[in-house]
Amino acid sequence: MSPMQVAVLQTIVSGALLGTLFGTIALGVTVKWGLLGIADFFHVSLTLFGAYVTYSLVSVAGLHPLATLLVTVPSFFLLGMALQWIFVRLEVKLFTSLLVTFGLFVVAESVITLLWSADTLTLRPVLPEWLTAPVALPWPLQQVRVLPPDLLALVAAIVLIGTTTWALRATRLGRGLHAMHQDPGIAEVFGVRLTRTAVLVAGFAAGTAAVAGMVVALKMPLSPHLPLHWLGVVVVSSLLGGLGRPLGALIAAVFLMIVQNLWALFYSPSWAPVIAFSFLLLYLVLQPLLTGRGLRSLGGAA
Amino acid sequence: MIRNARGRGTAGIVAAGLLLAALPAVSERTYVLTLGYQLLLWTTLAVSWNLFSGFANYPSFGHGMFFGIGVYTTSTMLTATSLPYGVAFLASFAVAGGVAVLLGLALFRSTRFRGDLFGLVTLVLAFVVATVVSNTSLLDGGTGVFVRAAAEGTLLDNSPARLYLTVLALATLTVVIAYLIATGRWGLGLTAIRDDEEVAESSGVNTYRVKVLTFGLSAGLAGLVGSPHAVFLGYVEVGSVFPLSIPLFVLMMAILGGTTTWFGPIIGAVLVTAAQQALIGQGQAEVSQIIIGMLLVVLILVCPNGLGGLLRRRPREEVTS
Amino acid sequence: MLTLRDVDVAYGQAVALRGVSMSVPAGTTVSLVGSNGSGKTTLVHTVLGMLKPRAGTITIDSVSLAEVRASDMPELGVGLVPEGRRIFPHMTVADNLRMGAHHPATRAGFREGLAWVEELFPILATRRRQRAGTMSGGEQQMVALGRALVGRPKLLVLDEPSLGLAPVIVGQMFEVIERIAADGVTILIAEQNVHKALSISSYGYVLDTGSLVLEGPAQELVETPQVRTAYLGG
Repeated sequence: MSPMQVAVLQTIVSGALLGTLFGTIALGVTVKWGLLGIADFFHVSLTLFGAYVTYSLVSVAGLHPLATLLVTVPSFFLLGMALQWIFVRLEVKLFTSLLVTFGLFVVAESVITLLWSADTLTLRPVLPEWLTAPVALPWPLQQVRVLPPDLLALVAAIVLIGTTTWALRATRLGRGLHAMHQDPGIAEVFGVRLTRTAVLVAGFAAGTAAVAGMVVALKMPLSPHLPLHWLGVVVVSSLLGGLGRPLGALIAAVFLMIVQNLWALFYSPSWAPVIAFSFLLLYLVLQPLLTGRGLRSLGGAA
Repeated sequence: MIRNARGRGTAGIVAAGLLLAALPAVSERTYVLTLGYQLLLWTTLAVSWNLFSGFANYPSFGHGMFFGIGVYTTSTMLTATSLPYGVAFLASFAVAGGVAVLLGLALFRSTRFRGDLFGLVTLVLAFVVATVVSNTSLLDGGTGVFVRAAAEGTLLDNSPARLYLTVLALATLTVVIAYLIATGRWGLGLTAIRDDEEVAESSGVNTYRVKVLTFGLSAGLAGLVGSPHAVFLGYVEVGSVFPLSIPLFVLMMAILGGTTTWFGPIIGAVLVTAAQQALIGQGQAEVSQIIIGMLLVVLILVCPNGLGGLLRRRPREEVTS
Repeated sequence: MLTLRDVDVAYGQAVALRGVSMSVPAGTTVSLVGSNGSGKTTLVHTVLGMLKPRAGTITIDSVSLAEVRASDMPELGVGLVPEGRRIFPHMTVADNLRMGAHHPATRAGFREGLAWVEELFPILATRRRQRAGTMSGGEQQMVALGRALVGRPKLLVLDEPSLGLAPVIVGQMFEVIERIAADGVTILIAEQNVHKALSISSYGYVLDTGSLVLEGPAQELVETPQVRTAYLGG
């Protein structure tokens, strides 16, 4: 292969792997937005918060990176449940939720700055070699190198999104959730516990943010304004993939990141962030022509 | 009779503005004038946001973007051209309003761009604009723009008193416009759109035109107040012109004060700015940002219809039989 | 089976039901008739625990509804066919039917219940994978009935089952309801189609602006001048 071909291949693979991380972050957003009616910007901040907690647990408390999940996942689960419980109690509407989570999103940046400072923090120096040394992919991609955290992102995406997709389609909880979203009153009469279901799903979503946060901490240097750069990709993939469909969001995120990385390779990298938004605007404008019906009709209760 | 009442109302607002214009004569202290400037700046932003987003219930997350477009229009015209400040001033209105009109022409063709989707598209566009600005060397190019030197000798001349008076004039203008709209036929059209767009259309309101024009005016006023703000900042950079806290604060001010009246956002702007200044005075900026943000979040959660909605008894939830 | 005693229901200040007392004995079919807006749906929602009465008591098999969550109605053996069907439009027929046995108390009997439903409505067996929202009105009503039946309810509550259906379909629907009754299910049916409803019932109640104004054996009720003039058009 020519060096150019290797570079392109390398770019596509790294883009796809980065996309799996964003797909994992989008998982919580798309499920909550599509099925609970909560547009949760804060989920993205929660992911970064998870990354910082992982950072502290590894660098200060000396925990194994994977062992941090035992701490972060349950505590985030509880946090997500508590927040959703408040939302249910106060009967928060979709737009109010957007406003509130947007407010929390802005507050979170200040909280993280206050707790961990605005400086860039990185776990790299304290990580064992098996987490930092590049590995070659098997044939026919033997010239492509990937970093272990990227593979971890892939595994996390497959496990979490696979499980969620299956659970939404084939389990009692998934059916109950869909029923609740389509007609809460009737779902309740047939035995769906509305508050319990919503709180459980929100807890699960927050738990996935903890996992994604762990991957983030291993993969990149941390700084408080990262969610600002993620928000676009996460929201756009959730919408492009169809709200409430984690697999769709994953595919969209992988696609967007491949395109964005290729763009950065051939043109100016600083323009790359606009790509995701251009796709969203394009989609929003074209979508009624493509499907003949509005995005809102996806979610409307009977 | 009604014409008379509106005339008196307008005169009252202008009189209040003139009264506030005496502040520089009372105190020359920069701190006082800056505080006044902040109050009036946020009032202008909140009231202008409310013109469209509040009256017609189309909450936009893009008001910070229109404000930023105004800031950068003025900074660019002052540093890159030798045109007088007045031209930059008017251009800020035209560019911000123009962007909004174009956006409105595209979005309002379909009524699905309401609620969360409209909020989202405006937010997304704010990111795009910020990226464009930081990548275009004529506007910013990522290095920031020094406006201070270029503003020297212009109409504003970096003088706190002149900046204060300019923003005061803009705040008065914005409030008068909001008052006239709220009490006039145009406001009825917006209220009809807020209540039910299809009914509004069928009862003779050209909803498309009303929405596009009001959105443009709302954005134009935000751009206009961005013009003196470029001079106020002295050094303009993307990070401080397009932060998410601006649309957040504007939204929350308007909602807290009440979005259905012309004066609600003024109350919200004064309360939030005063609280913010008081907290910043206490010490750490980061802590005050957190406290004010959380306070707003809790208030929105507890009374999504604003403080006014809290005073009125909340109607019992309606159940369809 | 089902007993209401002096039930008052209000939406805020607006009183929707006033002093309603009625009973549905086990194994019978009882009609609740009345014009649009008379409070039938309010009464149905109250019986299902979706609305809490302001005064009065409701008991099902001598269990007071005051202590039961709406989500535990299947445990009491109550199945609902709501007004306007309200099937889950984006779910398949199979999943809609599964929702009928969602409650832990009814889950065990799902296979048996499904077999019964597919015997009553053979067409549903051939449409399992179809999205329920894409079906015709009559087919959707079958899904709604099937959903209420897979949990093998002791009490089936039907709210306006004939609404928006073609007369032929209405006839078929009422035949099926009679077959369900013959299987020993107690039925409460709220209907505007007074004649149809009373024809398959043993007893009837007439509701008017939130109060019961008339009751009696269905045959006699059909003959009363009030019902004749008000609901049957002379």
